Amino acid sequence: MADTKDRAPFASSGDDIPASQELEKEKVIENLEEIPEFQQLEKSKARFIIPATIFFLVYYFALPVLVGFFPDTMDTRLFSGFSVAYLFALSQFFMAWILAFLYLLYFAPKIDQMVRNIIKAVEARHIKVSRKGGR
Amino acid sequence: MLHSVLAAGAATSKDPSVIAIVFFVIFVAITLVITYWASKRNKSASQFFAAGRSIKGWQNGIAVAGDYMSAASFLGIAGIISTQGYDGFMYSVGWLVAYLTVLLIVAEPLRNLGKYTLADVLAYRMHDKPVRAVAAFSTLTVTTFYMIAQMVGAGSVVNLLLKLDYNLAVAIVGIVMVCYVVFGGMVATTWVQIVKALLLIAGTIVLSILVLSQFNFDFGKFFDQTTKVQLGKLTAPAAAGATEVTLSTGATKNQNIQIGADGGTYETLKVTDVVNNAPWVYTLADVLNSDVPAGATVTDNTGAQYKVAALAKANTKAIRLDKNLPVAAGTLGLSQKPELSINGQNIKVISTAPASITAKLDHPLANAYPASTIAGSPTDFMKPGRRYANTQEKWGALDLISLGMALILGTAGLPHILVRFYTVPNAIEARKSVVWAMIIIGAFYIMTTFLGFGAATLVGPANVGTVDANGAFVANTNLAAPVLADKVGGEVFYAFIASIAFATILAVVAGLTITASTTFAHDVWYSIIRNEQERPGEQVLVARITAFVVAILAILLAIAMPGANAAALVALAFAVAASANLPVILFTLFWRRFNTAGAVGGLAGGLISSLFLILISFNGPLGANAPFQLENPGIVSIPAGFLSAFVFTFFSKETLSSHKYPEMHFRAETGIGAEVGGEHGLGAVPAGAVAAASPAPED
Repeated sequence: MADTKDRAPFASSGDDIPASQELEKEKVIENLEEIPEFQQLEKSKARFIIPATIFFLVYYFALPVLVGFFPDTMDTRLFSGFSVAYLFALSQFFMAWILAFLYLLYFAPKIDQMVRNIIKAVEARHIKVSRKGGR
Repeated sequence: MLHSVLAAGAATSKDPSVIAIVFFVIFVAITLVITYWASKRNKSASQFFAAGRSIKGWQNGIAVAGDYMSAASFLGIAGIISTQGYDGFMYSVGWLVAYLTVLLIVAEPLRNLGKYTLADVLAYRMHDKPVRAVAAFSTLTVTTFYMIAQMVGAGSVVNLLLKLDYNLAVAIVGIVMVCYVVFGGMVATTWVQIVKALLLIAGTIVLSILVLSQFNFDFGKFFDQTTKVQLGKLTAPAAAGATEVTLSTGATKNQNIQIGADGGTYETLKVTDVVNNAPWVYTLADVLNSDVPAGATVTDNTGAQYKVAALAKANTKAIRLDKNLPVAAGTLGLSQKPELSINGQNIKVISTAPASITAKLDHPLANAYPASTIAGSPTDFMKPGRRYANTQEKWGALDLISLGMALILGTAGLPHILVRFYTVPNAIEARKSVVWAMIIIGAFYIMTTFLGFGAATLVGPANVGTVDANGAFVANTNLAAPVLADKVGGEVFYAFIASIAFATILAVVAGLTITASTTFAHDVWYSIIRNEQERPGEQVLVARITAFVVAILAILLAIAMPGANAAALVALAFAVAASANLPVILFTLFWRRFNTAGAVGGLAGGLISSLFLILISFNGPLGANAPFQLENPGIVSIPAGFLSAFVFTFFSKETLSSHKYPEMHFRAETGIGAEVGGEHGLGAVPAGAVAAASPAPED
C-alpha cells in the first residue's frame, strides 16, 4: 500500500497522523459511526430516501414501458389532442418537482438538525476520548 | 420571413445571419468582460478549479442548468418532436427526472467528500493511484465524446444559422472557450453558464408565447392541431384552379390530402391518381466515403447505370439518382438487397423513394399556394409510440427503456455536472442548487412541447431545414427551433434564437473543458505523477496548459470528422457515464465491502461494455448490418457495469477500503471535515472543530 497515504480522519490532507496511532484512530472512527445520533440520522435518511428513490424509479420507468408496450391504451384522448400519454409524461415533471420540494423543505431541515446534534455529540465525546487517550 | 427567404435562396438569407452575428458578438463581448473580471480573482487552485467554493446555491443551480441544456436539448429535442411527435418528448422527461438521482443520492455526499474531481470521492477510501487513473480515463472519455458532439454541432448548426464557414465556426468556439477557461477558470465558466441559461430560458419563453399566440392561446386548438400534422409540403407553387399538385411525400390513390395555410385552415382534396417523379432518393446502408458530384455515373450490381442528380456529401447515407431501381429494395432481405458502386465504393441500398410525387385531384384548388406550403395526409403527432412502440420497431420498447436508463442514471455520472457542486460552500447549498436547476431545466423541457409541436404544426416537418448554396432545400431536424422562430417572430427573433444556439454550445464546451483540465491537473498530474507534492501554482498552470491542448484537440477532431453523428456521441457519453461512473459512485458511497479492485473493474467493465456495444450497433462503423440492434446500449451496459464492479470486488482481499468506510461514511453524511467554502455553513464544518474526534496525542 505504498501508494496510499493515510489521511487524518477529518482534517484536511497534510496533517498526517503517525502510523503508531493507526489502530487507535480506527477505533475512534468505528465509535463515531456508533454514535446514537448518527445511527438515528442513518435510519431517518433511509426511511425517506429509499422509498422516494424506489417510487420515482417505478413512476418514471412506467412511462417508457407503457408507451413502448401499450401505445394504444396510452393513446386515450382526454380533450382535443391531449392524450393520457402526454398527461402522464407531463405529470413526471410535477412528480419530480414535488418530490424535490418535499425533500428540500420538509425532510432536509430535519436532517440538518440531526447533523447539528451529531456535531454536539462529537464535541461532547471529545472529552471522553481525550481523557481515555491521555491516560 | 425566413420561410420565404429559404425559398428565395442564399442571397437574401444573409441579413438575418448578420443580425445573429451581431447578437453573438455582444454575447461574447459580455462574457469576455466577465472573464477579465474573474481572472483578477483567480489566485489559488481552489479559485481556479472550484470558484473558491463561493458560488451561491441558486447561482450554481442556474449554472448547472446552463451546463446541462446543451445543443442536444435546445436544438435536438425541438427537432425530434417536430419530426417524430410525442416520442421525442421522452427525452425531455428523462432529462429532468434524472435530477432526482442527483438530488437524493449523489450531490450531497459528493460535495462532502470531494475536492475538485469525481475521482476524489473514490480515492477517499481506495488505493489512490489505480482508482484515480481509471476514473480520470473514464472522465476524459465521457467529456471527449460530449465535446466532439458539441463541436460538430456548433460547426454544422452555426454554419447554417450564421452562414459562417464550418471550420471557422469550430475555431471560434474553440478559441473563445479557451479564453474563458484559461483566464477565468471556474468563476468565469460559471458566470458564462448563468448568462447563457438565462438567455436560453428567455428565448424559449418568448418563442413559446409566440407559438401559442398563433392558436389564440387556446390549448384545445393547439393540441387539436398536433393530431393533424402534414408530413409533406408542396415542392412547386400551385395556382388556384389547378387540378394537380406536386408533393414532397407519398400519397396513395383515393386518399384525402390537406393543403394548408397557418393556424389550421386547410383545404381538403381527394387524390385520384399518383405519379412518381424523378429524381429518386436512395437510402444507403453505409455512409459515403467521399463527395459525389452531380452528373457522376453510378452502376448497380446488374450493370444498369444511373446519373447522380444532386451533389451527395461525404459521411451521408443518401444519394439522389435519376431513376428507380428495377427491383424495390424494401421488399428484400439485407443480403439480397441491390448494391450500388459509387466512386469505387460498394454500398447496399436500404430503400428508395421518389423526391416528389404528382397528385391528381378530384376538384380544382380554391386558392393559390406558394412552394413549401404544408401539405399531405394528416398525421397524428400526439400518438404515443410512433417511433418507439414495439408495433413500429422490433426492439422499439426496449430501446425506449434503454434510453430512459441511460438518461436517468447517466446524469448522476456526468463529470462536468458533478464538479459544479464543488463550487458551492457546503452540501446544503449543493442541495439547493440541484432544486434550482430542476426548476429551470423542468420549465425549459416542458416548453419543448411548444417548440417541437409548434414547428410540426406551423412550419411542417418537411420544412425543417435550410437551403444550401445551390438553393436546394436540405432537411436538418436541428433547425426546428430557429426556423420556427422565424415563422412566428420574424428575422430579428430568428437571429436572436440562432445566436442563443451558438452561445449555448459555447457555454457547455467551456464546462467540459474545465472539467477535463481539472481532471488531468488534479488526478493525473498532482496525485499520480507528483505524488500529491504540491508546488505552488503548478496545478493551475498544468490545468491551463491542458485546456489549451484540449481546445486544439477538440478543434482538430471536429474538423476531421464533420459528419460525426452528434446524437450518437451524446448518447454514448450518457451511456458511458451511467455504465462506468454511476455504479462505482454508488458502491463507494453505500457498500462497505467495496474496494479498489471493484472500482477499477467496475469503471473498466462499464466503459468497455458501453463502448463495445456502441461499436457493434448501427451507430457504429458496421451500419445497418450491426449485430446490436438497439440505439442505446444502456439496458445491457449499465447492468454490466454494476456486475463487474460487484464481481471484481471479490477478487481482492484488500482491507483498506472497508477500514476507511466508516470515516468516509460519517463525513459523507454529516459534512464534518468537508472542504470549506467561502461561507461557513453547517454542511461543511471546518476541520478544526472536528479534530476533536481524533484521539489526543499520547504523553
